[in-house]
Formats: sequence, structure tokens, C-alpha cells
Amino acid sequence: MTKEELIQKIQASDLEESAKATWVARIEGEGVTAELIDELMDAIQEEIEKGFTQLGVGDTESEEYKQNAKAMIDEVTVANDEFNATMDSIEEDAQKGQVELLKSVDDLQAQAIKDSIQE
Amino acid sequence: MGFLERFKAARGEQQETKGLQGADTAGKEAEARGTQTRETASEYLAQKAMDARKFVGDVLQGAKDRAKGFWNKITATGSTIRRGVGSALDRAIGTPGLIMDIAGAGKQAAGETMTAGKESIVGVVKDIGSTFAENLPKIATDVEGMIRGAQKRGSETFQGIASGVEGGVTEMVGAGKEKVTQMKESILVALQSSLSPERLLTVNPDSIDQLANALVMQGVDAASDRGKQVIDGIKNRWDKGVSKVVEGAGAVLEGFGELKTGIETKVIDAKDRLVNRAVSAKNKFMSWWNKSRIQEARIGNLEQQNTELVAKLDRMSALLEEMAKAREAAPKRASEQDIINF
Repeated sequence: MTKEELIQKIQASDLEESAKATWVARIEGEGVTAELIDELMDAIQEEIEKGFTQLGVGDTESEEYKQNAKAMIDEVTVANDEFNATMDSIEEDAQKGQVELLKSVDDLQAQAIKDSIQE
Repeated sequence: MGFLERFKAARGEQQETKGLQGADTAGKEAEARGTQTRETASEYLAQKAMDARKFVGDVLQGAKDRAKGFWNKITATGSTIRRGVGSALDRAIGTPGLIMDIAGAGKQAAGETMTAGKESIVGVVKDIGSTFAENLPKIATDVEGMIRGAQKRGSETFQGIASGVEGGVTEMVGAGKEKVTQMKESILVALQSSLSPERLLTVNPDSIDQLANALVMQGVDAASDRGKQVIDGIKNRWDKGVSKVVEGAGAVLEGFGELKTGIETKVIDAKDRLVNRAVSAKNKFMSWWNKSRIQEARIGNLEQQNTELVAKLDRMSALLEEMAKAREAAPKRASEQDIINF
């Protein structure tokens, strides 16, 4: 979606005028990024939640709700576990690299001292 | 602070960093938060959809904290490495520091003769044209200060060089040995042109420090045989010490650069995978949840009393689905900024 198309969608939406102005300014300034769209979606969802509160729906704890929520939470939990495992591996590799580099710095300093003593 | 003290201090910082690597406080704390988040997942299930959304937010915040803490640690290690390399160069480059002292003494002994030397040294700084050289004007300033009769000597001059080197050493890698050699030759020329005549006494040509100290005290005729010995000694010291250390410093800094780039890529990839999956799961759930509630409103005849509001919710729900599709094709924020901000 281009910047112009997204702005058009915002202008035509049911968001309040002040919110539209804020989002249009941000889109103009930042361009269309995944992160901006995530924030925009959160803002739209907040408006939707207000509407449901006004209607008086949304506090259900039906089995269907629980199944869908569980599916979402399971997916996010698995993704998070994979992220943590990947980070563990990255940190382990990074630590090895750091130890080697710091050892090289030690060697470098020792070399400088050795050279100056030997002169 | 003498070199030994600075060396010890640098070692201390390295040990401290190594300790931090073991503790990895930020990462462990974030991991603990992640574990807690997993443990409370069942609690979220018993709550409303808003809490399910909060669950996703908490997971992403925990991941952000971990990545950011880790990145800060890598950056801190980089600073320690640069300080360590600067310290080694400080030691290796001691001779040019002594040259500055020699130049100062030469000025006192030979009056205007030093002016030529000062200009040559300043010229060297300007001519080399590297960022390393751009960090050297402080050295030139020190020399100029000495020429004006200021008592800037010894440790101050060394410190000036050390800070200049620390700031410029990364670029120096790019400049390479050729630039270092050019600088060395230029400094030797400047030294020759600035030393005062008729002052060379018996000193040990095998000890560059002794030679330099003697020169500081007595001045030297660089054109004499003894003066040539001295200059050769300085040249050898530079070749043996600085060039070798610069080469090693280059390897260390390049190694760190590669490590950092590799880490950056891997962390961003890991983060993107998590965010994409989490956001996709959340959007899928919220899409169902919004439709389900609109349906509930219709079934409960709430629509008849709130026609406009239900229509608005319908439109906004549809807009969200369009946004979800747009997000899949949208570019991400880039690079290091991304690690800090996601």
C-alpha cells in the first residue's frame, strides 16, 4: 500500500478528525512501515473496543472464544520460545567472539610492551 | 597517569566486561520476564480479549528488552575493545610523543629553528588527510603550545596522543599502513628540520627512550652521525612497534565490526520472525473476535437500536483486515535503530 493510498484510507475511515490528522502527519513523516501499521491497527482497535463497550458486548467467555484465544496464545508462545532459543544461541556465539577479541586486545597490549622493552 | 596505570585500568575494564558477559543481567532479566509471561498464559485465557492482546504486547516487550540489553552489552564491549587498542597504540606510539618533547626542547635550545619544525608537523597533520589525521590537531596544538613556551610536556602530550588515537583508530584501519608510513616519514623530516645543532652527547643508541630523554635535555644535530643514529633508532621503533600494533589493532577492530554486523543481522532476523508471527496471530484472533462480537450484537437485536454504530464497527473491522494485508507487504524500520526501537 502506498503512502497516498494509506492516507486516503485514513481520511475515509471512521476515526475522529483529530486522530486522522495525527496519523496523516505521521504517515507523511515516516512513510508506510510495518511498525507504523501495527500502531495504526492498535489505534483502530481501541476505537472498535469503545464501540463494543457502548453496545454492551465483549465480556463473553464462550468456549469458542477460549479456543481462538488459546490458538493465538499458543502460536505467540511458540514464536517467543523460538526467539529466546535463537537469542541464546546468538549470545553464546557473541560471547565466544568477544572473549577472543578481548584476548587479542590483551595480546596487542602485551606486544606493545614487549616491543618497547626489547628495543 | 602513567602507561602502566592506564594499562591496568584497561585490563580492569576488560575483566569487568567479561564479568558482565557472564552475568548478562539485562538478558537474564528479560528471559525471566518471558518465562513469567509463559506461566501466566493460562491466566490470560480466562480473561477478556483485551487481555489476550496484552499478552502479545508483553511478549514483544520482553523480547525487546532482551534484544536491547544484549545490544547495549555489545556496544559496551566495543568501547572496551577500542580503549584497549588505544592503550596499546598509546604505548607503541610513545616515540612520536617523545618527538614532541624533543621538538619543544629543540625550540628552547635553538630559537626560531623550531618554527620550521612546528610547521612541518602541522603540515603532516593536514597532509595525511585521513580521519585519523583529523584527530591529530590536538598533537599539533600541543606542539604549538610548547613552542610558545608553555610547559606542556610528558604525560600531557602522551594523553593528547592517546585520546587522538582512540578517537581515530577505527578510521586508521582504513587508512592502512601506507598512511602510517607516510606519517612516520613526515615526522622524521620534521624532527630533522627542528633539532638544534652541536648538542649531541654520548647516549646509548640502542635505547630509544634514553636517546630521546637525552635529546630533550641536550638537543641534537640530526645531520651528525650521532643524530642519524638517533633518527634511525626512532624509525626502527616506529617500524617495529607502531606498524605492528596498528596492523593488530586493525585486525581486532575489523573482527569486532564483523561480529557486530553478524549479531545485528541475526537479532533483527529473530526479532522480525517473532514480531511477524505474534502480530499475525493477534490480527487473526482480533479479526475473528471483532466479527464474533458484531454477530453477537446482531443476534441480540442490539443493531436495531444502534444501527449506525454497528455499521461503523463493521467498517472499522474491514479496515483492520485491509491494514493486516498491507502490513505483510510493508517494509520494516531498518538496522541498529530497529533493534533499539522495535
